[in-house]
Amino acid sequence: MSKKMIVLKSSEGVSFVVEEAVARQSKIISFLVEEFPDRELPLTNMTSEILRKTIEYCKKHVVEDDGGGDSSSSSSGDLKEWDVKFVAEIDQPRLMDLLMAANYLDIPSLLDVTCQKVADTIAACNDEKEIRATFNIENDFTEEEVEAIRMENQYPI
Amino acid sequence: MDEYRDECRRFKKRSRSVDWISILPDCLLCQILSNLPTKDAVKTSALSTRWRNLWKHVPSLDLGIIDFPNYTTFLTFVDSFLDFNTESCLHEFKLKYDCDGEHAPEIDLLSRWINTAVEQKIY
Repeated sequence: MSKKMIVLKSSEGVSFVVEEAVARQSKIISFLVEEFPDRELPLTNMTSEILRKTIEYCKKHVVEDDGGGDSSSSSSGDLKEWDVKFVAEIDQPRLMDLLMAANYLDIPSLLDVTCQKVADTIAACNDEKEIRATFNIENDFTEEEVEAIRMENQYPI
Repeated sequence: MDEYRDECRRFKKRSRSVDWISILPDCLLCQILSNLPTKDAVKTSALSTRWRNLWKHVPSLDLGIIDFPNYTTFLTFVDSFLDFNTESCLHEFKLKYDCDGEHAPEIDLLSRWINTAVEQKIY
């Protein structure tokens, strides 16, 4: 039996033909497919690059989920490893875009893995100066204000 | 650590000095912070004015007395956190301390914290 395909269109107007089961990893697409069967779905705030990355993630996960009843703990371990590698290879701007896409399309596991990657990067920094440097966050506090916050929050060490 | 610093440098270079994390809305920044131990989430309050109170909206608190320089700072911190959160959606509240230690929180203090937690429907 041939698999049902659907068409997703990026902000640049590029069409991606995807198996419905893959696209349904997104709760939003799942809903739209029910409401508008046989329609091309325009994803106007997603670039082709990010849409391609999102589809790559969904494909991997639908394959693993389709493993059926015999999916062992080792395959779920492999999938976790794949997820870690998947986000490790993405640079900062694309990681943020992918995180937003996961939120927009409602793909909880992709949102988790992208949020965790950013959290791990923050956790690996020694102090706020290192976090600012890593993410290019502009410090709009005066030294006195930083000191005041430190006192106010009674920082855990 | 050297490896990590190299990675940070590469991360920074690739992003060409643009503050990419700030394109995320507050709700997603909070979700990121909720994946951090509370003590790391607190550090982010000193990043910039936007980050100052973000960590306080994270729906879980997980701290141990061991994370603090002394007992008084631990008490003050938990009190002010719970005060701030009277109208928020705190879901999880986890504190660790030594019952037999010199500075175990007193019963009335613990019941005040538990009452606050119950009032806020924290599970």
